[in-house]
Amino acid sequence: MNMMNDITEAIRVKAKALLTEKQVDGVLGFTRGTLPQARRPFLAKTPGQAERLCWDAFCLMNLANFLPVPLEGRIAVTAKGCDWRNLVIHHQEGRIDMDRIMVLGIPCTGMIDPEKTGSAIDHMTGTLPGENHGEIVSAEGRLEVERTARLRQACLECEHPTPLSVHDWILDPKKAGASRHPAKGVSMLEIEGPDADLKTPRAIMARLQDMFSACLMCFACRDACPLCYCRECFADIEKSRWISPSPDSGGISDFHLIRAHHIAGRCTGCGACETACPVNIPIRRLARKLNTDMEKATGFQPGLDLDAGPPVCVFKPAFHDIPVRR
Amino acid sequence: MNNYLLKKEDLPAFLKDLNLQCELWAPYTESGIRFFHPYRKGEQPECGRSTRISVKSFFLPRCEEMFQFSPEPDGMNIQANLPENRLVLFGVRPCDARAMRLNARVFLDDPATPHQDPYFGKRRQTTLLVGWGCDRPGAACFCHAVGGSPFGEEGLDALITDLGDNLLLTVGTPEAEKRIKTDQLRTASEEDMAAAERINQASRETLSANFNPENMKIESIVSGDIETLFDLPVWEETASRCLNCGVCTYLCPTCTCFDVLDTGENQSGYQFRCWDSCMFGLFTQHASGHNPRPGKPERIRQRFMHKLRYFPERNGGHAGCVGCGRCVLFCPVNIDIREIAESMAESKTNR
Amino acid sequence: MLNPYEKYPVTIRSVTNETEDKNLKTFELTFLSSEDAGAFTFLPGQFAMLWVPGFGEIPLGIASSPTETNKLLFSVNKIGKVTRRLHQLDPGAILGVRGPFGNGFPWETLKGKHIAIIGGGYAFTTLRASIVYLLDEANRNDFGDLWVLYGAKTAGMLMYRNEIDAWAARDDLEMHISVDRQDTPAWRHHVGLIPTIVTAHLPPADEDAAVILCGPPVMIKFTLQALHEKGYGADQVYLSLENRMKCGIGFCGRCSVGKDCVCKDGPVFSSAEVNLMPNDF
Repeated sequence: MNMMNDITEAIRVKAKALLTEKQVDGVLGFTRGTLPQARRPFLAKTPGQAERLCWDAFCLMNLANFLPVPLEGRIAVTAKGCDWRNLVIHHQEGRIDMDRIMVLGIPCTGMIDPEKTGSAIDHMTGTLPGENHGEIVSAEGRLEVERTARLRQACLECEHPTPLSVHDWILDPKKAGASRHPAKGVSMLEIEGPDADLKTPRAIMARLQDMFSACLMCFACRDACPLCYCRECFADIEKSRWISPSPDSGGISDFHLIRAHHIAGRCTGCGACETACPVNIPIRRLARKLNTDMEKATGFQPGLDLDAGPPVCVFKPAFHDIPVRR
Repeated sequence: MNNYLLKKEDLPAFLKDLNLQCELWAPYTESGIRFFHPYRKGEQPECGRSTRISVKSFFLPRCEEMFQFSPEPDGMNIQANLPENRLVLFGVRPCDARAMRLNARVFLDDPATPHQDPYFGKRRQTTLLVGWGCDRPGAACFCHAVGGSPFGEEGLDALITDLGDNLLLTVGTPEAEKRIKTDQLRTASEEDMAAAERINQASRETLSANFNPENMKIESIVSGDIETLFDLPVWEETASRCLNCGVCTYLCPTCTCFDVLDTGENQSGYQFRCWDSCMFGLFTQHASGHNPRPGKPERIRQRFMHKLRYFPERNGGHAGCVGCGRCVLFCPVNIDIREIAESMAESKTNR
Repeated sequence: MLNPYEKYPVTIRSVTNETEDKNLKTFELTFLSSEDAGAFTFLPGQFAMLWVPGFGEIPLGIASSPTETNKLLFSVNKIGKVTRRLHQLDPGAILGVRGPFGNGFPWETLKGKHIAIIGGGYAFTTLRASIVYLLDEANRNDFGDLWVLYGAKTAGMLMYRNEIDAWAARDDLEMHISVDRQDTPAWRHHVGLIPTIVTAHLPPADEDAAVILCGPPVMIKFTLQALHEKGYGADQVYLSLENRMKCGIGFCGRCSVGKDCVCKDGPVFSSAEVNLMPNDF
């Protein structure tokens, strides 16, 4: 039984029905791209387009980042745990109205990190059909891979792979099999050495600058992040250039530190930032560190309960016209 | 042009020699990213594969200090910071080398301007490019569709073809003749040359099998009607998922847009330039707030119009793209320039 | 290889407020080295990159004419980071100049022609340079009739007040001044938008006429229509385009419109050339 193919089939059937019956104006999911491992966020608007939806272990982006806002009408979203959590957060922050979103829940078994498929990244000509084992067919021959070894780090650490509140299930979680045990206790700065070495602010800054020494300031991390939706990002203010791209200004690590603080208490660790980063910087760790600290202090994890907002923010209706980016 | 044979087992000694003359850089993998690093004795460089970032950063660094300035009594001391190092880049892919040639058309050889960019120019003068032919094109490679080829010599000073046990070394420029010691190498035989041609041919066949070069149709795009191209639905469609990040532009070897910034508001500091991207909203924004490309569709349209229409229009029909495939591989949402080119070319035939 | 990013050091000789709201100032600059002054030869319509050390560089149309010896003028609107800093500076401050850049107005082609100069708002700077150039006795007889229209929102927003009043009194040009709306009772000149004044007062076209037109996009759009109705062909009208610039010499890619760069292929283009450009500026 090929579960991935079952999920794809179920999504197509469901989406086609919803669109034919005009229950929704669009179904947001993924579709195949021009490379075997490429998947694109895709909003199907007609029953015909529903045939293009798909689901497998390469659906790496977070769909909450691709909602057509401002929302007109109703949109169904094929949501794994982290997609759903970010929809919840968007609702709490007033970016969307969850009543207009139909969550089609998918119990996620993790996404493959293309960087972990080794040399095959340049030459992949086949995809992984199975659940735990799969095959990459490349110019170098057939490569049998054990799936869990290839999962992206964000998925290995994921505690909530399945949405907790859905309109409908694409695949019943009870049938999805045993949930994984996430790798816990990953420390933020374990890049080049243990955290025990970080005794002073100076040492921490040095480690951070090292971490971001390859950063190109492409902003893919910010632009892939579902939580970064400000109309005017602090890094883009021309008149008072807070962030300088020059290497000796510290601007690069400033950017990442400030952004981590902006998503602290909100970040679900979905890993879209790390996936988007073209130079493999483990960006997710900064926000995860802050969120882990918050969790230890308050017991709060973002995006799990529509009625429970972050403990350090009070969100009043008067704040509803927060400028929202497209 | 001279062709020599170098035994593969002699490559480490060859590289050591080359390194004695001036800084040698070659591709190595670090943190999962293959890129050019200073030569490491005893470590075999990884040639024949693409590097994550192109060699463009050796000619237009991500950040480059241009001037230092400091106040003087009755004046200002302004010192230009022109690059001086002599480098050898070993293992450059032909697509990247060709891209630097295209970049030189902008920075050095544009007949419409008397000016030349001395920072780019100096780096080009002092850098020797030794290429390594591409016998294993990647799934996203399409140099053959945009005027390049896997063993092309354009932009290279020398080219190596991996024949198996031996390496064919083709020395192409006087600069390369000067700096590469060939007196110990035997001249390549006709069989060697034939073997190289077979490898070249096989590579071209792989490329054609992966992607039909007929699908790019640059000529159709260059001769298409601008208004029709402007109104294509592909721009809005692509905008629905494009992040407007800088991955495509920064990894692209022919993207050379930059910003010029000052530091030191208190009269002593430096002026530097750094990579910038037409994908960013602020790129074309006037101080008044007016922005000729205010939204994602306009910016996406500009990128592809520039690569596939404006650049070739201005540069003898050469596309502003060398088919290295980086943008296709690393775009987080799989925007594929080949697909966009097809839409643009179709607009002409379907009118 | 010459370095076109090198700056000529200059100092501010004087600062003049041009407009009522004090947002527009004219800076008169002097080269610190007379050699640099000698090297800086330009034609009206060209621009320079003015460098405010530590803040950045901006493209500015050169407001002085090459016929005004030892005078380099820029009229600058306070609108962004660099211009805001510039407006804070006093005479004696050190700046940098790069240039001249761009193609300037096509003076060779314009020789012998009747020239209409139409400018709106802050875009009048290179037009001042052009008028001073044309009125200079060394040049005046090389050109035909000179007709000038300069308009601004209100009287308080007009630049070069003393000069335009003096030009209005001359008989070797026909000077029209207009405001969009009248807010001073003693206003002696036109009231109305520039396209309306063009329709009412500009001589009809003939093959020996040419128009130089500068202004904000909306004004340009409607003035082009008015010119068309008066029979002026698109190849008889010259525009000076503006775009965000950083290098000013065609390398950084920022000011590109289609295959052209405003800085190196322009900033002056004929209306016919602009019609062929993508609508992207």
